This record gives sequence, structure tokens and C-alpha cells, in this order.
Amino acid sequence: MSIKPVKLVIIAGKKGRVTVKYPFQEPVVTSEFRGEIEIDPAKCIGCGACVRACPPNALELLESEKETILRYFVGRCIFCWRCVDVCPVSAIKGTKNFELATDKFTDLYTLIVHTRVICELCGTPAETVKMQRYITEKVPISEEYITTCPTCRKKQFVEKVATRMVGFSELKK
Amino acid sequence: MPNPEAVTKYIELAEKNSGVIHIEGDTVHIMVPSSKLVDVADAVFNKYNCSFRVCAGIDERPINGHFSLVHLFTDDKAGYYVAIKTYLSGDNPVAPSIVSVVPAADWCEMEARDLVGIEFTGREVYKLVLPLWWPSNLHPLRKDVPYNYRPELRIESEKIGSSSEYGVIPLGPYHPTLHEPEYFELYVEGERIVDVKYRGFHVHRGIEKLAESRMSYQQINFLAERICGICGFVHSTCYALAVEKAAKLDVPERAQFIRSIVLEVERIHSHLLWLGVAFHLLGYDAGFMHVWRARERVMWLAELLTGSRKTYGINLIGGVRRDINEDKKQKALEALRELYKDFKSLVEVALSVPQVKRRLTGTGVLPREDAIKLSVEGPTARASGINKDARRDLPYAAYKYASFRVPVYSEGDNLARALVRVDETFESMSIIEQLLDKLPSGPVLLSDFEIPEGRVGVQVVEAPRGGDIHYVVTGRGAPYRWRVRAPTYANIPALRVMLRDQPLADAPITIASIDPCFSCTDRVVVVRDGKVEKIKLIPVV
Amino acid sequence: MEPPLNYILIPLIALYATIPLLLDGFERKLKAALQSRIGPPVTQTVYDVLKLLLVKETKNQPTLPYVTLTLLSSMVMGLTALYYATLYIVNGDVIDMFYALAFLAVFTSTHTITPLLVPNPYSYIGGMREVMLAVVNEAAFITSISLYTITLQRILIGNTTWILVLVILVLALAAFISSYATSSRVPFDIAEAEPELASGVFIEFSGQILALNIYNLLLRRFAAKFLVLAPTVILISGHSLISLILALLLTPIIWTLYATIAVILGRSRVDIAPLTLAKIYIALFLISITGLLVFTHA
Repeated sequence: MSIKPVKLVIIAGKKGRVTVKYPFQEPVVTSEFRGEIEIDPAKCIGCGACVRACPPNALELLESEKETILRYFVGRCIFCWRCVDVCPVSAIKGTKNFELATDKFTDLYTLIVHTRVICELCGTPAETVKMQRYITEKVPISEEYITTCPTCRKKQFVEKVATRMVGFSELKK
Repeated sequence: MPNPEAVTKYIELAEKNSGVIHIEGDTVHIMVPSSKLVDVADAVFNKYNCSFRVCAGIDERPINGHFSLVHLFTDDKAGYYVAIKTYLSGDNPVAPSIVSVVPAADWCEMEARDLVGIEFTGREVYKLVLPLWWPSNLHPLRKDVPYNYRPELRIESEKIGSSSEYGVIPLGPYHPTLHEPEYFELYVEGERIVDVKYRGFHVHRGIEKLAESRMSYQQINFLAERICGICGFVHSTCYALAVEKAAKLDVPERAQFIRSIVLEVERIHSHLLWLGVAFHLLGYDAGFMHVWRARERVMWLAELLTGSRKTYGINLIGGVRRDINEDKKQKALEALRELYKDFKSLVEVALSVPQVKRRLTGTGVLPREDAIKLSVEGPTARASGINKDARRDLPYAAYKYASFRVPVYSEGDNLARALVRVDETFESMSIIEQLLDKLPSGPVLLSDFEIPEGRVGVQVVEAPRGGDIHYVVTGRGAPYRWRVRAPTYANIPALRVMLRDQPLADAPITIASIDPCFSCTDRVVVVRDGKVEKIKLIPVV
Repeated sequence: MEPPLNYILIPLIALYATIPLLLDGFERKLKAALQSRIGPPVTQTVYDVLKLLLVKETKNQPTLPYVTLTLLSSMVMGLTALYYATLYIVNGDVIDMFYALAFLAVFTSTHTITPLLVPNPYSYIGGMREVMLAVVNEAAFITSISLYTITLQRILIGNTTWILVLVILVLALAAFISSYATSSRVPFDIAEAEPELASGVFIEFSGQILALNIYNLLLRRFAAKFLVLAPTVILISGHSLISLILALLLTPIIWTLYATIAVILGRSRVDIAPLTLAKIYIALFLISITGLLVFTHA
């Protein structure tokens, strides 16, 4: 029977008490920690890139007649920050906040509401107004093209090609 | 690097059995008719001494109207993956079972039978993954079953055994002190365990089906990370490496180094956790507390390097999302130095406690022949004298740039398994220091790439528990088939050998000594045909 | 009974009834300090027992009345044992010490068999293991303390030789070891053993029964130490009130020592522990009995 087990007392003495008295003390969080995200409603254009990248579908795009709503549900978020990576306008910022418990269910949802552009030709809603502006800034594009919905654009394109090739288009009639 | 001369014997084997062979990088693909499957498997496993890893059933009816079955072996000495594939009829898929020559293939064949619907001849069949009351013609991994389909079910109660000859001790799955859902039925005669029955797969989450249907390539990294709590990064790295191998992507070296470093950090964390749990099971709570105090520092280091204490979330196909700058490197080296001193003194003290030594020595012995037959993985294999480590045999990521020793013990008892893990922790610390030193400059993420359809990638990554294998067949936007086999899947059948004739008091520490990760496994095993013949099954409710 | 003792008897018994709880709280704090933690406050055990006593008991078990009765009676016997030990320290009548030992024996045996009254396989496993250990240990405890007391009387009478000193040291060692082993601490808490398998004997108790069980366990620990210290303090300062005060002061010190030993060791196994103990006791008793025989014949 060696005396080595008693050395534990020495080890414990050297290390002291390591308990962090959280929540009565600040938690030990490094600078790299990933907490919840914050979406800047002014910058967000409603493109849905974050929705496509989000693994657990915490970010969802809800579309109705007049609006497109980007909904962030903290309950499903896995704090991977893929949305932060892929947002084209850097509207999503990561924070170090992890104390997210609440007793009001509505606190868990963040909603960013965007108005939708109405197609000049057929009247169905298309992309968001902000996205329209974003595309116009980035790409030289004709007014006729940007104010119509994708279905109408396709029809117009086919008509133009048909007119150029055979002189008329079935669709126009 | 794989040894190119070793391939000749596979070419000969394929020709002799009217098969087609195709060598892609370090993977040998052999396609044989199903009548020759057993002979080929026998040659590969018994003559060429390859390790058996897993088999996967694939529903290829949308592509070519057939089912297929792939058996995955690895030639550890030569550094090759050997995939033996056979095609089965699309209406009534029947395959010969290789269990008679490869005993380790027991579970995965039954899983293919349950989930894909492939029938096996020449063996005893039973329901493994799915519950007994699941409709028998519904095979979830078939392509015509939608991922969110809910069948009409008539749920029956689970049954536990009852015997008049032996005492039956049910262990789990709703037991208040068990950490994970597992169910062992121990048949005891007095204090001696006579036989063991295991049923798991209580939390089968349908991850493979999810990945094929609802997710995209990059999203699956995060899903793979959550297959397991402790070895999550291993799964996500293995998946990323498998897809990169299939798509032949040139991942930047710096990313591979970072992956290896984080893998080793995870290994240290896992082994420290296991040591703590083992001490707790032996009643030495002081060791448990101190080892977990050391582990806390490792989790702080992981958070500094990756952004999260456990599910790191830095893997993407094409590289990693976080870099290691000079400041982080210095902090990491300092943390490792402290950990080395701390851990060394702790292990010295803890393994000298007479009760700990006495209870670990000579208990739960796994003889070498059984270990080879069952193809056990990781420290369980290395403690029984099998010199097998995927980091050295099938080098991946940046392991070829680090020199490390693989600890092998031959006693096969609980103490040997504990010592293998202790030695591996020290080796991991050394590997991290070496890799941090040699970190090359460059980008960490590949930005522009495409993943073509119809390619196959197989990858084994050495998790803290053994070799984890991912098999990916690429599709459009998401994998066509993704097969995961975690190392505990191979280790649990060995428990039956280890627990037999042991005192009941040693059952928990023996079960814990294979470092079971049941959430990784999420498979069911019914270990039967032991000495116990007449077991009456009685319903729980 | 001497007049001073008369007046303080009731408060003394009350002290015996409450001190084990505080000492256990102190032990938990010490254990936490050795494990680099903060640990619960020193009064935690008092809170635990009180909370358990006030829980609404919803269990419906046929054996519940038997368990309650057993635990209550064992508690009373424990306190009686302490009372007789106190009498022995102050008055010096050896028969009191034997009464105390008898009551202690019944106390520990009754407390040990309570798990066997509960119809649950895990409780049976835990209970039978306790019994296995108790068979070896209780016999040793009683024998060693009896021989210790008798040898002590010889020394007090006056004829001390080196043989008697040796015998007394050996017997003291046996007494302390058996008092440690009976206190259900690591490495001998084999009923608690294998927490993954059967969460110990406490698994079937809840509410008031658990409170009684915990209390009995702590009282048993206190009684084991006090009864070993009783003859020891007599050796130092004879039969008087001062010895009693010394005994009350030394008990926490011995408690601390035992607590430290419990933290630095691991749990033994049900087949190893009784055998090891049996071997130790047989060796010690052989030495001491040989010594006594030599003394009587010399």
C-alpha cells in the first residue's frame, strides 16, 4: 500500500476551488463564443440566402399576398452562424448572448417584415421591394424587366424570341 | 500512402470470381455477382486479414432498377479501402449472408434487412433496428417512402425476460442512473453473470433518411456533428472527407491541419471524460472531480479554437470556417503544457489507489481471437493486442505530418483499456504541439467547387472510440446514400464475451470500459443464443 | 447517577441527536474542498432531512409500516447505546459499556436489514451485500471493543506491562478499523456500489422513510466513533466529566480523519471487502489474544 493516494490532498490544495459562482458571477465565455444572432431590419433585403443555409430551419421565409416575413425562431437555432456567413448584405450579426430563457413564447420569435413588389403585368406579388432596389444597384437592368414577376419575364422573353424568329408570337394573341 | 503492390491480389481475386475491379485513389471497388459474395468476403477477411467495417444496402431502383449491397473492408497493412458490391433484383432482393465467414457482419446485415428490405439467406434473421410492431413491408430507406411518412401503427409493449433458472437483472433503459438509453438484461447465477441480452436503438433518429431527402450538402455537416455528443467533430470531418474524396476536391492544407488539431482536442476531451466516469463507477469520486476539472480547461480551449464548447460547427465541405492565428496558438500551447502537468500527477495518484487497481485488473477480459473475429475498434481492440489505428494505417487530414506512437497492450482487461486511453491522451497532446508548429499558411476554405453526381467516397476517421466510417454516394444537391457506422456499433457485440462469467459487481465498469456511445450507435442488438435457453418474455405494462 | 450528570442528561441526548447532522454537513464541505469544489453549506444535511420529513408521501407499499417501525426502533436503540456509553465514561461501571455495545449491535443490525424489507431486486442486492459485510464487521467490532475495554480495566487497576501496552494498541487498531468499516463509507459502502446498476439501498426509499434512513446512518457513524473513543479517553483522563468533554471534542476530529480517508480511496467489491477485512481482523485478534494469554500466564 503506497502513500500516493494521499497526494490527492496536495493536488486539491494547489488547485483550490474552481467553481464559478454563476449566476452570481460572470460566466467564463471566450471571445470566440457563438451566441444568438441579431438581424438588422434596415439592412435585410429578404433574399432568403440565410434560409437556404440554415440547417435546422430556424430561419424561415413566410410569404403572403402583401408581405414577405423573415422569421427567426431561437428555439430551433443551433448557433452555427452559417446565416452570418452567407448574408450578402451583412445584415446578420452574431452576439455572445446565450441567456435566452424566457417565459413568454413570443420572445423567441423575431420577425422582419418586407413589402412585396406587385408585378405590373399580372398583378401577382414577386420579390421584396428592398431586393428590387438591391438588384438595381448591383446590375444594369431594364425597368421593364425589374417590374415584372418571373413568370411574366419568361413569357415576355419567349414572345420576343418568337417574334424575332418567326415574326409573330402565339402568346401575344 | 497506400502500397500499390498490394492491389494485385485484389485484381486476381476479382478475376477469379467473375467480378469487375476499379481502383480509385485509395479505394478498391470490386463488383461481383451475388453468388460469389461469400467466397470473396471469406478471402478478403480471413486470407488477406482485412478489418470488416460495415455493409450498406442501397435502393438504386430510380437509377438502374436494382438494389445493391456493399460490404466495406479496410486493408490496414496496405492502406486501402475495399468495397465489395453486388447487385440484387429490384422486385425481390435476396443476398447471401456472409456471417458464417465474417461474424462481425451480423448487425449491419440485419439493419439492411430492416431498413432497405434486403432478405438474407443462410443465417438466422431477426428484427434489429425497427420495433417488433413495425409493419413488415415498410422499409424506410427505400426511395419510394417519403421521409415524413407516418404509418398506421399498433404499438405493443416492450417485453423483458423472466426466467426461473437464473436471476434476471434488467439494466436500463428507463433506469434513473443510466446516462444513455440502453437496455441490458443480465442473467445471473448468484453473483456470476451467465449471459447478456442487449437491446438498443431506442433513439433511432433516421439521420440517413433525413440527409438524403431534406438537406443539402453543406447543411449535413451540422447534422453529422449531432450524431454524437462526444465525437461529433469526428462524424462531421469524416463526412466532409468522404464527400471531398468522392468529388476529388483539393482541400487547402491549412484546413486539414486545423481539422486534425481539433480532432485531437476532441480526443483528449473524450478520454478525460471517460476516465472521470470510470473513476466514478469505481467509487473514486475525487478522481472523477479532478479529471473533469482538467477537462473543463480542454473545453475552454475548444471554445477558443472553434467557437463552441462541444458541437464545434467549423467543418464545411471544402475546408473549415475558423482559423488559428498566432495568439490562439500560443494560448493553446500554454493550456496544453498546464494540462500535461496536471494530468500526469492525477493519473499517477488515481491509478495507485488500491481499490481502483484491484477492480480494474483482470476483469472484463476480451481474448484476442474474439476481438479479431468481431472486428472491434479503437482502444477495445488495442487493449487486446490488435495493432490497428486508422490515423496511421489509412492516413487522412494532416496525420502524415505528425509522428506518434500507437499504444497496444495485450491483457485485454479493463485496466489495459484504461491505460491505452491514458497513453493516447499524452500522444494527442504531442500531436497537437507538432501540428501547431508545422501549420502551413494559406486559405482555410475552398470557395468554388462542384460536386458531381454518382461518385462514391469512403472514409474512416479514428474517433476516440475507434474507427468511424462514412460511405457517401453523391447525388444532386444532397447525397444519394449516406451510411454511417460509429465504432461502438462494432464494440457492443464484444460485451457478451467480456461479461460472461464475471461477477455482477463488475458489470457497470466493464460496460463502461468500451466507452459506449449509444447515441452514436443508435442501433439495436439482440445478443442471443447463449447458455440461457428458456426465456419467457413478459410485457412491461 | 452523579448529580451533575443528572442535570445535563436531557440536553446531552438532544446533542447526540443533532450533532451527527452537522458533522455530516461538515464532511460534505470537506469532501468538496478535496475535490476542488465549493460544496453545499454546512447545514445542508439538516435542510435535506427536514425537507424529506415534510414531503407528501404517495407511495403505496405493503411493507412500508415494517420499514418505518424498524427504522424508528433502531433510532431509539442508537440513542440508548450512546446513553450507556456516556454513563460508562462518567461512572466507570463496565457493565454499562457492555450494555452500550449490545444496543449498538442491535442498532446496526436492524439498520442493515431494512433494505431487505422492500420488494425490489436492486434493494435486495444492496441489502444482501450490506449483510455480507456486516457479518464480518459487526462481530469484529463487538469483539475488539469488548477486549479493548477489558484490557483497559486491567491497565487502570495498575499492573501495566509492555505486553499489555502492545495488546491495547493492537486492539485499538482493530476497533478503529471496524468502526470505519461499519460507517458505510468508501471503500466499504458496497451497498451503494455500482451506481449504474442499482442505485444503492436508497432507491426504494423516499420522503419520511428516506429521512429516517439517512438519520439512522449518520447516528450509526456517530455511535461507532463515540463507542471507540469511550475507552480511549478513559485511558487519558480516567472516569470523569472531563473525559466526556474530551470524547465529545475528539469525535469531530476522528470524523474528519475518516472523511479524508473516504475521499482518497475507491470503492471495494462485495467479494473482496469482507475477505480483506476478515484477514486483517483474524491477524490482529491472534496477536492480541496471544498477548493477553502471555500476560495472564506471566
